[in-house]
Amino acid sequence: MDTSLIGTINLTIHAFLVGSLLLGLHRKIMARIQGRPGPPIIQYLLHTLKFYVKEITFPITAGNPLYMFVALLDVAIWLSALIIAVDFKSSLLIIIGIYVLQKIVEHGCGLSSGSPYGKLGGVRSVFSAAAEVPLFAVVAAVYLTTHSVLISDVLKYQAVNGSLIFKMPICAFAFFILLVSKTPYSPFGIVKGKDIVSGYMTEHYGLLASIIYIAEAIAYFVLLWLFIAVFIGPSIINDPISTLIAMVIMTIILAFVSGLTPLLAPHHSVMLQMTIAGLVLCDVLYRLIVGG
Amino acid sequence: MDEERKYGLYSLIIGLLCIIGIILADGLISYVLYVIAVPSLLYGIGAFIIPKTRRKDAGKLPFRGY
Amino acid sequence: MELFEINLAILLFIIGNFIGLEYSYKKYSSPYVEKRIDKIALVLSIIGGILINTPMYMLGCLLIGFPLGMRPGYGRVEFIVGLIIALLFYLLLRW
Repeated sequence: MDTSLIGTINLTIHAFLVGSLLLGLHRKIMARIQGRPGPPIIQYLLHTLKFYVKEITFPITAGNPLYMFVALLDVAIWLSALIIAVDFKSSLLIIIGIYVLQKIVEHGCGLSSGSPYGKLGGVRSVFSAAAEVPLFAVVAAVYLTTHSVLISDVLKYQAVNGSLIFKMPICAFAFFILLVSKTPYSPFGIVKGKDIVSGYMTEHYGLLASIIYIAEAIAYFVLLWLFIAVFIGPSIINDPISTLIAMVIMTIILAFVSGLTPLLAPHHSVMLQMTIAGLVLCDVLYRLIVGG
Repeated sequence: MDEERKYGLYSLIIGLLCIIGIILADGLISYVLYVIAVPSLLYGIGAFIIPKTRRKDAGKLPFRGY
Repeated sequence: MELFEINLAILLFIIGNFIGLEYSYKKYSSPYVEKRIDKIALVLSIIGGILINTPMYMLGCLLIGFPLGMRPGYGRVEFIVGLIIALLFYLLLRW
């Protein structure tokens, strides 16, 4: 047995606990902004634990085993993202691939259940693939500046040259928009908008919902970690406590964004994301011409 | 045994096999096995904890559409 | 094993939250009351704020989680007092 795997197990539990608490904090702050008392911040964790011991039945219209398998796939892909990003500090391109796999989970969840709401959530997930275009552009721009797509090299570059957020503010903004679209109740959250019940998760309840919640907590942790690592740098990311503080600050900012903005209509959401993608592509072109 | 527990048993077996693999194997393959083992065990253990369904006709849920 | 200790501290923080939630739901029945200070929570919060800067920071996390986890409307002033004391002690010990 590999002893370094114990560190990975540790990291998995850390990501799950921190992600859950931050999502709870996000909900609490949003409620306070909107003048409601809001649930306690362990509510997300309590939901996860509660649903873990609730019954499930497979709907007769569900396409098994896909219906059950996508929930497990969700945990698997974000676990691999956690290992590749946080543990190995490996390539950003693999992270893009994993983010594309997340789309497959959303389609799979929505379409396998045979529910109209789930199906609509899956279809909207296809629309919001526009959120990934800024991600590609950001990786291109990071490559042009640091001449590497490995996270460890980006961290080394920042240790010498200072944070990337001052060198490439447009890219940081685009990545921030990606974070916004991933947080719950965000203006870009058309996939899980309340007009279609719970989007792709409508028919995944009980145990399967709990498994998807676990995956989302890990996903939130990984995306926040990536933003801090790629744009703010090693001075914060090397110390777990300061990483935690930075994540709490990011969550407060994201909660303000989610609490103060309305949910956009699907076409508006896609249009805005494409505009931001165009902005970043202009930035990439400029860097190509000027040379890094 | 109903269908949920049948799938739970399968994934429990997969998870336990992966754990044996993790103990025996070394290097990158143990990470791959770990990624497979965690969700399988989550579902496999959960499927035997959850209570039996008390619905009259299981699987017939609201919002049936196309 | 630094991450492991942080995990333990977070777990204790969550347990503290949970105890606070149970305690406040047992003790109070009215749903949302502002301007009322629970003495036990205040004392625990102050002790937690002091302990969080010492080697017993895990116990500090448990105690400071107690007022934060109380039901909506309760334990807000207590938590903020504990947090300010924790920050003051941190600054005092740092400089």
